[in-house]
Amino acid sequence: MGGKRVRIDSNSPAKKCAKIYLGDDDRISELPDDILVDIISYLSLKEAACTSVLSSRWLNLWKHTHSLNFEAGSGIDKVAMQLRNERKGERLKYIAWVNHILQSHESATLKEFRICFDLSKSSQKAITKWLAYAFSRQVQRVEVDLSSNLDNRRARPLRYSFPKELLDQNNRGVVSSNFKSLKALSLNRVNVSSEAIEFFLRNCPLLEQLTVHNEKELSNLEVWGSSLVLKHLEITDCDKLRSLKVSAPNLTSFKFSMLWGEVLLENVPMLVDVSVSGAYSIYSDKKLLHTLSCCIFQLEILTLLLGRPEEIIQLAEFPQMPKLKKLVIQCDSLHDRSIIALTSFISACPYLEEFVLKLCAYVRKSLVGQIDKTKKFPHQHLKVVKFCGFYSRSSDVELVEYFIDNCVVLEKVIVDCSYESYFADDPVTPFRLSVEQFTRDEVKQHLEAKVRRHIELVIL
Amino acid sequence: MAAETGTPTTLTLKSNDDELFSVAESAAILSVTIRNMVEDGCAGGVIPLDNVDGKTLASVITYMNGISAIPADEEKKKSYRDKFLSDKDFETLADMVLAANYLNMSCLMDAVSAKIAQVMEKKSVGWVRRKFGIENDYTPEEEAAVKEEHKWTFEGVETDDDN
Repeated sequence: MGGKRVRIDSNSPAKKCAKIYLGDDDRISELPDDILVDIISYLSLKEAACTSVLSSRWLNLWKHTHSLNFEAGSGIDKVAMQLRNERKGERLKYIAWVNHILQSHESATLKEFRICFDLSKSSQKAITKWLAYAFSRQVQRVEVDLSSNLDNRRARPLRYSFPKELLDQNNRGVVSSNFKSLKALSLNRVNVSSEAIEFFLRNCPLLEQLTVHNEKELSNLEVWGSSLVLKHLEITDCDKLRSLKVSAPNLTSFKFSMLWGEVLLENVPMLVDVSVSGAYSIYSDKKLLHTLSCCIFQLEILTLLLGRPEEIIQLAEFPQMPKLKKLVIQCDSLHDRSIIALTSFISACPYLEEFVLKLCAYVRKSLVGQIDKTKKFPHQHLKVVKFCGFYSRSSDVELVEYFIDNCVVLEKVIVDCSYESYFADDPVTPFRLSVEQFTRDEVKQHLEAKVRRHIELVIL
Repeated sequence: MAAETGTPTTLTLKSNDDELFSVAESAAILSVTIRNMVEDGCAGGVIPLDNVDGKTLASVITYMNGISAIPADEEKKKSYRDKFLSDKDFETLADMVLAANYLNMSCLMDAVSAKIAQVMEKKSVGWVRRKFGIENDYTPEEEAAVKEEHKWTFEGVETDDDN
């Protein structure tokens, strides 16, 4: 990363040459062991362990790092591509690797512990043992990410369940002080009971960040308490969840998926950043407004990940959001009429500074002349507009023109013609590339002349 | 304390090469070492910092003032730290990490450690040895044995420099 290169320069003073001979930055050997451990804790586990080969002083330093990040690398993809038996082999290899490291690692405390591999119920014992290890070292941040690329296939393996025995204070070896240092807990594709989550909320006085993603058993969850220090909460893709109640006085960011049931927010005076995803059948603006009713006027960042276009139109029903600075809208598709309807939504946010629209416009419909150009609405603060999935339909162009015409302090317009979230897995074909290039050329033609000189136009 | 008297309290810090620096107490107590001295009432006169030289201390004080002027916004603080460290050479970084350790300033310590780690990232063993002047004191047999023991580390680590 940008290190000075050894350069033999006949004009450089002799002293400098002598130094180069030793290595240009030989100060590292003067640092005490504990600082070297701090430094290599920022390397990946593999790279940290690689330092053992540098010299005998470095042999065991990596065993004291305060971070254990079992990043799988390409392992997860390998599992997905392989036949069943080989898949098992790949998993066993990962388990053996983690076990091997935990046996040789010697740090008494841990800042970070991360498991990241396609593992299921069949590895229950091993994973539980790892978690017990991490908690017994007063770990601060735990992430268990068992996401799998196989989940869309028919035979879905049973999931790993967060172990009750780990939290049972009557159980020998479970000490409540083990949880006192926990600041962040993130579970992905791990089944967890509401009792377990409540245990963490009650017993971890420093818990600032909680993430539960892709969970399939939770039905009711309450994140509730006047003494919670929780700042960031993410409860997403929990299909069975019927009711979620949140009351956390220090919460600043909240990411959730709309539920069939209710998401209730209360006592969140610090909340400024909300992200909502809603599958098209679940989303309703009424429901969302009901959830956000206690905080909508204080929001500074709002992200809406929506399922289908019709919902956008209803956004016009939103009240004014006087503090909103950044708005992100992502949808699978959007009809022209909906795009135009966005303008009234945006005009309800007078202090907006940044607007991002991410479209996967796989329908190329074109209607003409939707924006009422006689209605001017000068935005006084909007500086950055980003449009991903620009297809140069007439309405796309019109929307960008609307911003150029109405935003007094606009500095940057970013138009990304290659954004395709919906078809992310599709191969990049020459045909697709040529369509993108065609769009880019069109955008240039349409917009370059219209963009005033002080506005930066970026076409991706 | 500043909040009680209404006027900001200033502390005088002395480096090990006898340079004196004035710094607002509210900024200086980012250092737990200094904070403890203030709390113990030892901050009346000049605070001697025996393990930090003047050049490094000046830099640390710039950081203290800069970061304490930013309100509680982690993202802005992070971008300040990145910018602050961006033009520092390794020599300075090594001095800073020692100073931050002595002054017990975890935020600076973490940022500098991460920055030094960045230099080592994706580099071959030979490159790191040369860059940092680390003398390889293994016999070839020993080195082979260490490599064998840590065999898993050399799979899949791509280095982007010559060996």
